[in-house]
Amino acid sequence: MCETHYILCNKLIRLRDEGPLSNIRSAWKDKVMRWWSLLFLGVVGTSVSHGYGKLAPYVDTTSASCPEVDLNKDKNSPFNKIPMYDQDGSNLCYAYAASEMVDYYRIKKGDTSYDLTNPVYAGWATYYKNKTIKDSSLDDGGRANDVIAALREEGVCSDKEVKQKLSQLTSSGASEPEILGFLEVVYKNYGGMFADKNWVKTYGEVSQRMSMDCDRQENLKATLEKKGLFSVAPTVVLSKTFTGCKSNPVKIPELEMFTVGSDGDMGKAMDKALKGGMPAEVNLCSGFFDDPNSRGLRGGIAGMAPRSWITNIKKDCGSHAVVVSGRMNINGSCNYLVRNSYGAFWKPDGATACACKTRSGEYKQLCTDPNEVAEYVGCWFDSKNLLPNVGGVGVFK
Amino acid sequence: MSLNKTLTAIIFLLNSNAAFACDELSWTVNGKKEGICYHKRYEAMVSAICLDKKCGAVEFLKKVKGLRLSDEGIVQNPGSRNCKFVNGTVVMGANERGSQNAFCQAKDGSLVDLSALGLQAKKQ
Repeated sequence: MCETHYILCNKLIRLRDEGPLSNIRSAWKDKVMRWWSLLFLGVVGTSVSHGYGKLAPYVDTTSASCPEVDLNKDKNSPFNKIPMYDQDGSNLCYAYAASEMVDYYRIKKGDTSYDLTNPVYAGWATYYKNKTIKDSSLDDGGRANDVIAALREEGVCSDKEVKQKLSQLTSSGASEPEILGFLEVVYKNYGGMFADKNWVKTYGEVSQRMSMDCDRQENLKATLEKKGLFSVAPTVVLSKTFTGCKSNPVKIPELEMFTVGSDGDMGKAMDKALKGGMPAEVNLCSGFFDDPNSRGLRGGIAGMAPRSWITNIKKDCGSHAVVVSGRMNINGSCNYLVRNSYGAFWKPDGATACACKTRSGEYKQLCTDPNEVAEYVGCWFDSKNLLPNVGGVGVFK
Repeated sequence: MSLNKTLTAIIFLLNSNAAFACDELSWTVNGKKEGICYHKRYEAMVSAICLDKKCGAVEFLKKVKGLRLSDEGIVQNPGSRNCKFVNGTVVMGANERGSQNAFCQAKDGSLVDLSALGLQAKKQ
């Protein structure tokens, strides 16, 4: 599970349901978040209506009329060059989805100026660039369109360079998202405005969040201290860690966000992207991955309000961001192909079927024999279950 | 034991091994190459060694079955929480293509796919 911009809403819901918080620091933080959230939602509501107005009349994709589009099928598909990611315990789904969108576009347009967009770096760059008031976290959720806007403006270090720069830290046994998560928790407890510098508490938080054992934490702590990265602000981590890396320009268009309208309008936005030969970035409630009957949105929103409006999101929404890379009729139902950042073996119970790379390296749309699978590259979900859970769709302009 | 019974036993054993035979997928975890196979009974990717003998990773799958940890208010990967529950360590693996997958590692070094651990926990 991961957090898109809905996380802000989830925080508000918890504040409302649980009443006054005993911890003054938390209450203060939540209050700030609350006002920023409301401000943000207002902005989203305004900007989205512009995109919504551009869509053509909706064609019912739940019927048999569901022409096939599969961006993975071509042997020269950019997806062949983009690995399947695992965001691990981080909340960086939005950065993973955005990085895949960026790389698909670049590769398709023949841009070979750098290899791949590292999602963790993309999250960092976005935080560094976009937030006027920096709170203690860059892992609290975000929006893919912000990532793309930041990369367009700031450029990006190549994946190879990022991995090289982080190799001393990953040698402690931690993954890239784990390092980021660790830095965040440490900064919150040690370097933030209200930090109480309690290592036991910090250790407990990291253990709970990432299952990092004591040895790995101590190793990472020692390495970070040596490099001057322990308990410093994310902006300092970014500048110190990536000093000297070559900033490559990212030549991609902006994402147009569609977050207002009916379930069918969300399908229409995805179809618009696919019709243009591009994937769609989709923000959704993830419960239906495992339970097809799960509905994370209440569905009571109409008119110009965003579907991810505070009152329309259920507590157990499981806010997430993914990439949709295909559409196909399976057994009479229209299905969309969801490319996730939950690793190469992600094959949830709620999926109609999953697409894979076979051991011989071929792409297969419906993989039924697990023994032929080298890795899954996405899973097909019935639009009847997917669309009611979609909060917004990002399409390249 | 008669010759016939011995031969039957040998054939049975050979067949059993054949049923468990696996064309391993190669994944790198913490700089070390690991063979990964599909475990039919638990519908999970696990260390190849787990198909031949008892291993910690399969014990994890048994332990988490029906665990159903609440997802409410939790923002982390549910698989991580299940891994922590069984005292495993979450480790990140990569294959030749650079694709990633998180595994839960047991003390004996065996691995189980983290998302499969999460699915197993949801089963009755």
